[in-house]
Amino acid sequence: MKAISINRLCKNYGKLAAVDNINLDISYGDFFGFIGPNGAGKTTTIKTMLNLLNPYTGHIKILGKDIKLNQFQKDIGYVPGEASLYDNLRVKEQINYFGRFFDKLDQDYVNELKTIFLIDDRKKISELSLGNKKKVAIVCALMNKPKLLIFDEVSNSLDPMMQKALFGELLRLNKLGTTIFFSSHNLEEVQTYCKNIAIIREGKIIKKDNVKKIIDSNGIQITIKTKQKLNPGFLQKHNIKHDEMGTGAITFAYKGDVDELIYYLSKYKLEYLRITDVKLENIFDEYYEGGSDES
Amino acid sequence: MNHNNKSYRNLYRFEVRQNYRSFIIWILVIIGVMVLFMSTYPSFQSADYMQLVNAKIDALPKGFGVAFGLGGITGINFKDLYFFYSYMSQFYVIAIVIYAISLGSNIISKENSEKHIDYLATKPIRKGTIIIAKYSVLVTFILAITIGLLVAGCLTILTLNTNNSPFFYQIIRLSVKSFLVYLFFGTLAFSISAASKKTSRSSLFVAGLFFISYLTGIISQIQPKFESLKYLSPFFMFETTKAGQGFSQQDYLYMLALTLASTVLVVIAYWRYTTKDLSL
Repeated sequence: MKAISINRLCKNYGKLAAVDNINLDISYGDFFGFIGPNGAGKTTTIKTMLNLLNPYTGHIKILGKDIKLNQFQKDIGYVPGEASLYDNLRVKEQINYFGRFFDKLDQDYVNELKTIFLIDDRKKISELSLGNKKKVAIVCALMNKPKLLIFDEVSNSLDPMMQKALFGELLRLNKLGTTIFFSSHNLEEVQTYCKNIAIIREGKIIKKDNVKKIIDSNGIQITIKTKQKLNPGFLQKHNIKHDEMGTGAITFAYKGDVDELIYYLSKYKLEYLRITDVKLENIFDEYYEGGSDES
Repeated sequence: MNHNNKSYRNLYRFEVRQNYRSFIIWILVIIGVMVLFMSTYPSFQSADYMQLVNAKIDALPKGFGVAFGLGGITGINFKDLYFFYSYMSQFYVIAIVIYAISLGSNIISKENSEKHIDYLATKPIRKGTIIIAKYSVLVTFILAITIGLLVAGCLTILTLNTNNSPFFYQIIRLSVKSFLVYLFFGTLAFSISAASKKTSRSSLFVAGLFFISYLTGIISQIQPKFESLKYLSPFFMFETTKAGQGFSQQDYLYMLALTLASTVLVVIAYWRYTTKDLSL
């Protein structure tokens, strides 16, 4: 049984296919990243998963139950991209209102969440900044200790300290067995926290894999700076596309033989050399631009 | 407690809290206007003044009189306290219909336009429970404003009723008919909001329908050849000045039709709301 099972999902807006025949299975306990450019179909997929939108075709099961049965909501937490809470309420009233929809609520945990996210529950929602509204929305999503958490571009408006607090709590919950489905534009956090990812473009899943496997299969990231001009032969041979950085250094992903690379670089007087894992954003560019297409 | 009942009660209480302030403003303003208008009643008691008023009304073109609720009324008698009250009530009926339209539409559309629905519908509550709870709030407020006006009307008439003429059953009958009109227009706005994809303009649309139906009623009174148009106008199928009289067979049919129409609209609203895309 899967935490999320999407089978041949299509969703159209008029003639536009926002989601086009998606199949996606996400295991219990996964920390799953769902990435793609703007307008790729991420939010539509999420809203259809949550039964906020009706699928044109296809079936979705959440926590083993067909979403049409409407039985999954008590076991999930959802934070939409927009923190559209009730502006006329105080934070405490907002949290209590959503909390009353659940049969059992661990009030100590709700208070703990308020402490973790530094929430002043006496304030009115309308007085809060976007980041603080997001924090309230996160507390409302976590309050029922859900088995599945669905986040749609949540961390954007949080400051670094709150992002750290959020991911700290998410990792803790994930270790306890909570499945996390995480849509984001921030590929660094996806690379850092997610175990598996799917890339969606133009409504289609074009890549689904283990993050570590993707990173490993894309070689290493080389950043170098030399006074001489690099011989393009080597770069062309390995089909290397490089980016020039502001410092005059160039950076590229390398999948070939490491000895050959070192031999090549030894011909130059290097001012700077840095070898790291390939960044997801470098790989992602390829998919964003449509260079690679595999399901 | 059944979980659905718990969710229903939570949403119902929440919506009552969200809407009670505007309710209080509306009811206070309408009662204030009613009391103000009724306070002029003693000045109509002078025979000379009444003669003057009647002469002025007789001098008005027929259509003008109809437009202001004096059409087809024989024996206009502002000395009659109940007649005076029921004549005035047509204006507050219009105000309450507008309130019902506004509430019926906003209680659904606000949730969508401000995107609260993404939060609400992902909590453990069925879509059907959401629509039932919201409709219950609409009915509650319409009932409350009707009862409020009934009580205020009774108290005002009691204060002014120097000759102890009976009025209680008349004002009850007027309230029952008015309630069904408010409920119909409120339910129409509610259903259009619940059924349509873009809900933000439903109140304007229904307000437009209401005024069209009002005008249709006026036309049906002015031009005998268009009399049948009154059946398209829930508002004009009865006149407030006649509504207090005993219920005729036509009145019963009219009330039954309004009740059935409201019921059908609620069923449509329920069906559409539970099957449409809630979020955009």
